[in-house]
Amino acid sequence: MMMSRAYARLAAVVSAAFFVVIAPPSLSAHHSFAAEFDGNKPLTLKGVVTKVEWQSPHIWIYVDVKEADGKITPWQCEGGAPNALTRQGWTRQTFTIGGEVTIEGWQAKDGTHTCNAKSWALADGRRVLAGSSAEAAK
Amino acid sequence: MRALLLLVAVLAQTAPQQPDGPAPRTADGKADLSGVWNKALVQNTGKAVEPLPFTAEGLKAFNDVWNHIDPTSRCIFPGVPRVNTSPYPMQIVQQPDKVIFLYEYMHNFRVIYTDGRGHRPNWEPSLLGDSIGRWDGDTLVIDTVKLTDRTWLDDHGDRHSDALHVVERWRRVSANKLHYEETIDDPKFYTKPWTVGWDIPLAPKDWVVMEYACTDNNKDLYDGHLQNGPLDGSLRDGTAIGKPAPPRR
Repeated sequence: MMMSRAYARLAAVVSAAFFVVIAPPSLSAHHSFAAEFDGNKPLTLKGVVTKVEWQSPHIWIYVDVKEADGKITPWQCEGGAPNALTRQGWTRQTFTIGGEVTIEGWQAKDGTHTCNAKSWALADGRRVLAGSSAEAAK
Repeated sequence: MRALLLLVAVLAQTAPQQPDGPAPRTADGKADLSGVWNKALVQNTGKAVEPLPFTAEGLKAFNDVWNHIDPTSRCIFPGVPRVNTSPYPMQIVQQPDKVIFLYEYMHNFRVIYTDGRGHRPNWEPSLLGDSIGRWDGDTLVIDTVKLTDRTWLDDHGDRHSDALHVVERWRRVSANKLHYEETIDDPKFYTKPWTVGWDIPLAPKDWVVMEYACTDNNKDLYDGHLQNGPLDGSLRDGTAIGKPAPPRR
């Protein structure tokens, strides 16, 4: 029961068009992507930024995702290392609290609303934080 | 395609901003290693010399990696030699009697004296160990002992024991290129020493060593998301590893 409910929720936020084969990142400077996230569980989340943690070893962006039934589910997504991202020209101000963001990434294996982000797009469609956390972490 | 994009991005990022030339020299005539170097992550350091010459104990430790979380995921210093193969730049500051390594990753530093002193007699094993340096022509040779067995050699989960002795060789082959070599001498885990090496490019001119405070917000650890196994995600289970070579010493 719990399981099917969780999947139903996930299905509400997963874009069907996203089932293109995209190799998950295999590189991380800090922890094992393969152990922690499921490369077979790609997802797309569209939500509103509630918090930005621009700190080492990886940035975390917190997003409220509105599901099909109107329910709000908070998600947390991991990005690259702030030092690498800063070198690429990104800052904490890249995100606006209350602003919309669309995240493509992979869900944590433990089934929590945690993801590792591959791409981030703002409301105007602009892609930010080029590369996945793993790539940026290089 | 993804690999190509990544390669282009990495090349663009690492392209030196100045034309290459001979290695600069210090006032006392030595090759000058000083500069900010764009050290890249090397995940499987032993790849070029595989299969590694494991002892039975070494092979056991290598396969036991599945029962442990990578220490760096918990923000334990990478130690020597892994600090050299971890990602992000490092700065070398060379002085007549010492060479200082300032690593961005985990904000580590090492002060390597080249004034002829020997290893310290009373030095407890530590993550970075006890290092002394000497010049062999234009090559800085660093000899490190007194290392704990709590660190790993790399993201692949290559292991070492507390008998590890590391010899690093650093040579600036040109203005924009540093050559790095490490010899892993660990008679408990390997039947003979093995040596690997690669080039490290000079970082773009405006790069400085930044902050990487691993403990600042290690959410993966705090939330209990870390899992056992090697960071590079290799699904090795030991079956592809040859039987350990007979001990030679």
